Amino acid sequence: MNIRALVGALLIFADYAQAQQLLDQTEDLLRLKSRDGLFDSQLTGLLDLEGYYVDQRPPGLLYEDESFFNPRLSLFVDMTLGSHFYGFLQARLDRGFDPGEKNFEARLDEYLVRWTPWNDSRLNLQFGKFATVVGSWVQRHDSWQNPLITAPLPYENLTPVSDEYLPASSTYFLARRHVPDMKDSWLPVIWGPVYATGWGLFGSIGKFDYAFDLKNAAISSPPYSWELNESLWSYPTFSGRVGFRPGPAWNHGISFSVGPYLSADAVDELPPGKGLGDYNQITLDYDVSYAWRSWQLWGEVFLNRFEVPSVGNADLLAYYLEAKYKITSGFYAAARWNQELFGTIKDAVGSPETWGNDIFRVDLALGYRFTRHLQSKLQYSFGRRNGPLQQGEQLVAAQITVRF
Amino acid sequence: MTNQVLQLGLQFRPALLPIYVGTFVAFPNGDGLYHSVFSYSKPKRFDLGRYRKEDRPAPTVLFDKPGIVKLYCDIHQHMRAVILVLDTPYFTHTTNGVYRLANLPAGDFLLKAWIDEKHVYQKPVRLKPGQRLDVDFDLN
Repeated sequence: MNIRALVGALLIFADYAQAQQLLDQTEDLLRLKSRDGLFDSQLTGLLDLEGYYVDQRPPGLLYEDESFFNPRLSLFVDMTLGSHFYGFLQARLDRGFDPGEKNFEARLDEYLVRWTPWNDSRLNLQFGKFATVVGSWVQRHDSWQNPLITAPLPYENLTPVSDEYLPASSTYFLARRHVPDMKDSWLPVIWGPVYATGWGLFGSIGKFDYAFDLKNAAISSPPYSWELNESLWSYPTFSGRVGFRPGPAWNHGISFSVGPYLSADAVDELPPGKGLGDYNQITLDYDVSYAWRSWQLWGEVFLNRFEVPSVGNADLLAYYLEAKYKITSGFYAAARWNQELFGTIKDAVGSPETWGNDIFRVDLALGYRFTRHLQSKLQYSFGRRNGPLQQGEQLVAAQITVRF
Repeated sequence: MTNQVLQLGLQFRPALLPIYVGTFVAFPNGDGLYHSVFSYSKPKRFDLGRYRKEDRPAPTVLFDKPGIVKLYCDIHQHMRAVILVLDTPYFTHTTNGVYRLANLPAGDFLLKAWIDEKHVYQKPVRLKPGQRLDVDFDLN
């Protein structure tokens, strides 16, 4: 079946009442519950069909060439054992963790076990491979909840900092501003939801909530470093978020993350006497959201520092503001303004130079929810960097999601 | 005539509301957090967005076409309810299985017992002037 036929079939499916009823009933069919109610499990999923067209070499964490098709099947299993134990799995079939990265891959992206000692939500402890606590976008990053198709800029734009190729001096580091991003070795501020492995604890007390985790990889680290491995506790990253909800409309949060970001491949390139643990990524983030009637607004601002060997501190500020407005019961519009502003380092003669090309990007999207199980989105983005080197100034993306 | 479906304790109350076509229904939020009531059912598509307990008047919706309207909350996925929009004014709602329909005109009717979408029972009845009928449904 070609893509056009598949999309056509999905649209017909959207209006087919029996199909909707079938999907409604599927929720019950995919639930497994013991007679005494002690064990309960629910399988749910998202099927995404998305396509991208980019006018130049794709930016950030989009791989492939100018245009490509990126299907993705995500399966989620929620399990409870009594009222104190919970388990979760997320498995995916797709073209790699980031769009277009590979031809085909099956992965277990998340798994965790959680213990809740009390009957309320004041404390929860968990171990596994799960999303970071930093920021607020991660909590709404799946295709059903994200009003746009792409992630905000801080979550996907690659900076010239690498976890494995270390610059010999600031001159070499500054030269990276003039070359296209190296997708296999450069790092963003935060790599999507960062499903790294480790321990977490979280809870809520009154109008406050908190979450902390101790993970095996920095928040900028690439997906291959998130897996459970022998070096789990060699160079841990500690992250946390404290949230405050003064009322239903507002939500504020302050996050931090501190931990080494260099990979083991960088050991041989380190300056004499230095180890991987001497170079940290330090991040502070403030997030805020507001909702009322048909409006939802979100914003985040990151202050990030990479301690770069032979260079010093490479600082940057990144932020985004995002809005969604429901025009009718199914139709909505969304917009996001993103910016990354790079700090300065000293060049070979001691003069300050910005270590990256400042960038802005505006994302606009229209979405339509046909039913509780079918949604479509169309996104246009325009971005621009300082300097002559541009990457994917214009992007058009379309996405159809079936939720079951 | 206005009926209401209250959101309280993270539940819709009542979970089943039969109304006559052309009725307004109010959707007050009784919880200290947001709800976002919507329906994509063919007889009535609507999305009320997010509103607080203090926001008054509560949003109302006119149900002007007969049919089954399924209600959901966009924030709390377990919340479900049904509004049964009927094209007859002769209906009642029971929680214990005992029902009574009064002041009916004489004539031939199709009496229906609606449990849920999958379980609808019906019987033809003929009602003479001044007559009282006892009609039971065997749900087994």
